[in-house]
Amino acid sequence: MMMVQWSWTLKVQYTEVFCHSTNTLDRQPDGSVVIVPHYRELPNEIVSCIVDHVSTQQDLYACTLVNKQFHEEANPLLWYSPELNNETSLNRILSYLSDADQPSILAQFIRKLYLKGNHWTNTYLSLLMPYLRQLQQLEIDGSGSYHDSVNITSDSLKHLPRHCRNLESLNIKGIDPCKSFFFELGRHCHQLYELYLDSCFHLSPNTFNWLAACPLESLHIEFKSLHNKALSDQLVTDLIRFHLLTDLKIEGLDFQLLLTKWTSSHNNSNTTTTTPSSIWPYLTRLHLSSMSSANDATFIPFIKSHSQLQDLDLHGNSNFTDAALASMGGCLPLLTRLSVAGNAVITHQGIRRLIRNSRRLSFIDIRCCKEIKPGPMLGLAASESSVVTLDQALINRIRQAVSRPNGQATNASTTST
Amino acid sequence: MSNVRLLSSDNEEFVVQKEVAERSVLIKNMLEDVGETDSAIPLPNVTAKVLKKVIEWCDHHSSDPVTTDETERRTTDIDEWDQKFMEVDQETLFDIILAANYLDIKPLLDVGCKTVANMIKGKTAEEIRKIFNIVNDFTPEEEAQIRKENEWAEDR
Repeated sequence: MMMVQWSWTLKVQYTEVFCHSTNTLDRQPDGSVVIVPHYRELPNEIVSCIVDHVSTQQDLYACTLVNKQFHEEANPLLWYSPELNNETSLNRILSYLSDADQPSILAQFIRKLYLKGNHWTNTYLSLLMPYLRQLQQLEIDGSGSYHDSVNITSDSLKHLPRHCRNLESLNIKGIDPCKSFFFELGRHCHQLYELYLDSCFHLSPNTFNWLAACPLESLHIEFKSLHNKALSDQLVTDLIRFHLLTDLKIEGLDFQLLLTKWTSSHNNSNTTTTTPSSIWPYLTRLHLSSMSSANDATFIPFIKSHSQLQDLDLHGNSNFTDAALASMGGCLPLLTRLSVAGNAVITHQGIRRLIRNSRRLSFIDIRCCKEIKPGPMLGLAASESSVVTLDQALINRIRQAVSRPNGQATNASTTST
Repeated sequence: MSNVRLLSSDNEEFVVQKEVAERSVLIKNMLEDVGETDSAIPLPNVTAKVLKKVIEWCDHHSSDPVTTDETERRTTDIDEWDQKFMEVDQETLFDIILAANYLDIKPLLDVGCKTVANMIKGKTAEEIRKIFNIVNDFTPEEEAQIRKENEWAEDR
């Protein structure tokens, strides 16, 4: 019986493997024979799905050389985001692009570039720029170690916007862009919605005015040595005109000045403070760390009119009080992350009340807050008196402690013992 | 839980729970259009052998959440069960991929294509052709042209 069953299975396997009309037998160098099934024509969408899952540039390159069908699907992907990680590959791509009789069709596939490494110089960037007309995303990293950082300066950067008019996202690290770079950017790049700059030393008062034609949604800027009052005044005035902003992160700009400007234009545009703001109505993420101090009088109206805020980083702003936290608890139902690091006046009571009222809060940074003593005062254990950031688990425990009917009393007695 | 009857191209009938069968967008839409029906749904492009595999996969993944996030869909690794599931001969692997495409079961199509992409990893074009028995249909001139265009991507 066993015998019969076994041979039947064998027979089925035999028919499946050997009698498939189009299989081929391939003799290996060691003499063994491997059965290679016939390759069936696959629909383009399946070849496309396969190369879509090929992760490295080297593998994609191999795919372009397999056959015409693979070439058709893999080539646009290979050129979509070329990694030019050494001088050899840079020279090769430039030599191909400049040899082509007419503007290369392949250059039109280039949409995304990440420049990293000290082989990137002004010369190379200038040579490549004319082929980057369709580029949408560019990241230039000049912030790492000597070998990792690009050798690119404003000399070549200022010509970039003229060539890359379809740019949507630009991230420049460790390079100080000159004034004419911003002028050119505002003049040519009218699709730009993300701009990240971390080293701006030479800003013109007109910088944001020049960028007015860019539909900026996400703006991160770190100003260096911005001491000129007239300069910051003009910058702030123009900054509040970017009405599409959802994500704003600014370091080194006077927050109080910003709020004052905002308050005056806000009061001009509508009289009640409870209606949605006409300035930055879509803002969900605001990071404004600065040396200066925002006070309740200007900050609370701002909170009240930006109910969609989810992520608020105010480290270094030391003058707003528990009253501002109370208005956050009442007016920002979506708030999930908050940093009040460095604030010297808010107290643990303010934090406890905020946690009770803001149901979505999952992170609070309370570093260097003199008046906040973590541990029992917050509803935590005495051993937890050195925590500086409150994560989801800690916040949940504090929330439980404060929502107990006599939570207040329990904690007060814990503190006194 | 109601059942659905599926009929393979070689006329074998499978009775499957509705929620399992509905992992296939094609079948789901068909059921919505036709409504309650007693007759078996014919699947003329899928053999019983492949349909059995596909049903096994759908059954295991019947309660998976639907992933719409494009990057998550692309970057997540194949889980252990799926890896084991895909340990089949190449013929069957491509049969499953084609069936997943026809039946519109995106996550299964992804797992299949990822498996093929993993087989390509680290190989040269010549090696890839050999693995899948693909005929090189380039003329020598065409091949030389592509090498020239894409030489920058060659990592040696």
